[in-house]
Amino acid sequence: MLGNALVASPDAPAGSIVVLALAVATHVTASAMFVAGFPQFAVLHAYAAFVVLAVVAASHQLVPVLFQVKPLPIALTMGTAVAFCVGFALLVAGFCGLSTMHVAGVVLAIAASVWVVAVLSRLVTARSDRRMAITFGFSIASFGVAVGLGATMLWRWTIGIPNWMPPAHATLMLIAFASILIVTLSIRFVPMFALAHGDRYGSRVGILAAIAAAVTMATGVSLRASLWLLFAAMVVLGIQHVATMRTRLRKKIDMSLIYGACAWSIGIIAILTAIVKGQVDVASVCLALMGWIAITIFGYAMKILGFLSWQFARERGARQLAPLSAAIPEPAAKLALVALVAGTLGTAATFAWDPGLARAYTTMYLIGSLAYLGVFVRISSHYIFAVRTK
Amino acid sequence: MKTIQMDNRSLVPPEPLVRILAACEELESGDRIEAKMDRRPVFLFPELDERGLRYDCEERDDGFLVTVERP
Repeated sequence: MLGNALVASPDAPAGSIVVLALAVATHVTASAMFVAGFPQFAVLHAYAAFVVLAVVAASHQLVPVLFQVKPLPIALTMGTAVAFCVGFALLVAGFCGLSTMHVAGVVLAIAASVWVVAVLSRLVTARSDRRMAITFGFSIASFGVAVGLGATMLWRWTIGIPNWMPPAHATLMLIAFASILIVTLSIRFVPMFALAHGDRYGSRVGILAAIAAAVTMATGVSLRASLWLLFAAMVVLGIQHVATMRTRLRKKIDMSLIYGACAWSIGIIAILTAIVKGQVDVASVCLALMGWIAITIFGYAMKILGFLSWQFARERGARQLAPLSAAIPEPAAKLALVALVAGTLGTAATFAWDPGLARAYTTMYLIGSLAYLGVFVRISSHYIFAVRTK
Repeated sequence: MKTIQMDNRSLVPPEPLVRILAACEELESGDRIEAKMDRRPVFLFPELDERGLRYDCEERDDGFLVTVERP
């Protein structure tokens, strides 16, 4: 008789949950800083910290599962996560006027080097899905270069920075790292979360276009051409995602995919905003970072967190567990999403036309961030308490 | 009592998961699925739990054998 035995996971779900929780807490902090009127670069890099921590947490679980490689030691993942927290805290403090830029650059450069080399060393041994491993590796390597540029700028903070460095750094972080990673993972996540066949992405044209856009943007060849390539990539892949969703086994659309769809739409708006304005300005960066990237991460994290918590509880012997589909408190998740989307769009619009109105919308966004934190706690406690009552 | 056998090796995620779950919808009491996989299908287990199915995952030299049964 089968007893629902679970092969013990070497992937340390508890460690990943902790790093993911750190990421969400960082997002709340960044959003609070935005409301409180902290310097824009401080807020921007606090949000960057959130993205980096979320990717570190997710990669620890996803890289072994997707590419059939050995997991990184959890101590390395948590150690680099702590180093990133310290480095970004020093960086934010530096943007607020403290003399911490140089040491921030050192800490972030070391943390990024260790983590990037570790992940890439795993990806080169990928036993399956090698094309996706290459795209994933491109994103991670881009992050490494972006941090290298960032650290160089920090070390040159008092003596002058070459004009090409800041836009190249921003492009590598926002497009080559975060956006291409999201696009790459969406090709697996959308069919996985929808329980649908994922055989509609054969040509990978969208990803190639996105990569080409990132490279041309980072090298400054043609901003307009890059933006149009990105727009084409998002539209092509978006159409393929809709086609995938239509064949799903699960009839109800998963909350994570609702988040993903909203984020994808905001991503397209971000690109169109930059095209219309002829530049990547505060409005399009708000749309990209607060909307496209953050809301996507939140959506996927709900699913990953649910699974990790479920796995944690099962490995500790809990038998009667509520289904994953019931673990997400939907009213709170919907409230969070509405506030995050409205806050993002409103903030971008006010920066475009009247920055004086920004506080109302950044406050709305903070409410969304706090509501999401509540959802996060609810999902994880749903299973952690099950362990205590097994 | 029927046994559905499938070889999901060399399929990229989530194809193995989707194939097994689609086959689960055809299972009657006492039927089972035996699926060869080349990776541990970690995302499959909560879905099987939710459907009230019994399952096992055995590591072998050539991958994993996942067995699913409807009680």
